[in-house]
Amino acid sequence: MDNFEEKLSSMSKPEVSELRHQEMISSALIKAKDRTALSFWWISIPLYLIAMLVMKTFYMPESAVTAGIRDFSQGNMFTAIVFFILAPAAVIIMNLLSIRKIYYVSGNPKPQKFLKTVIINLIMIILSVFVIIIFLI
Amino acid sequence: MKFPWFRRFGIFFMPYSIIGWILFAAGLIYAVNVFIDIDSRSHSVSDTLINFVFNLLIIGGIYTIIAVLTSREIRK
Repeated sequence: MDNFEEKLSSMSKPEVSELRHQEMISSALIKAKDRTALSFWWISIPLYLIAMLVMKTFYMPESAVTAGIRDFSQGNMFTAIVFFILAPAAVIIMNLLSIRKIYYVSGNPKPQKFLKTVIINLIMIILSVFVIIIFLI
Repeated sequence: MKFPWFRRFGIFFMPYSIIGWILFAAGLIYAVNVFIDIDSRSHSVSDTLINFVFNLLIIGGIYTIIAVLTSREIRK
């Protein structure tokens, strides 16, 4: 009986040092940050082209950004579609998936805290929508 | 193959293994080659820079795709 009590006292509760849920959240956040970095690089290409066209309109008032994009797309149809439609669309899908994953993994997060977490993803989506709109005008 | 090849620092991916360094060096050499090519055909400094930055962003975009795909350890 003594032996049993000794055994019982030496036994400890099984401990989980790191929760599975915690691991899922950190993995989702790391993936979202990786995707944000990728989005930044790909969205910066059309934004750079737009910035160049805006600067052109600044120095040549008779030219327009939309006309510049039209000229560019007539000369390089494939490149224009890749940078102004496909890349922003991919960025939107990628960031929406990240936001959705973070939302579901976080449980029922408070709106303010959740927005703070995904603000950069939202900015990327807004910039992508802006690029697509500028191209389609 | 042993992953990760790259580690992320903000929006940049830095090489973490020898393969990562090889890819980084290849990108850098290609960027220098593009710069020399554009510079030989352009008429002014701004002409060189405007065209080079566009190409540099494309190189950076492709490098980042590879880096994102190879920056995580594969779990067993």
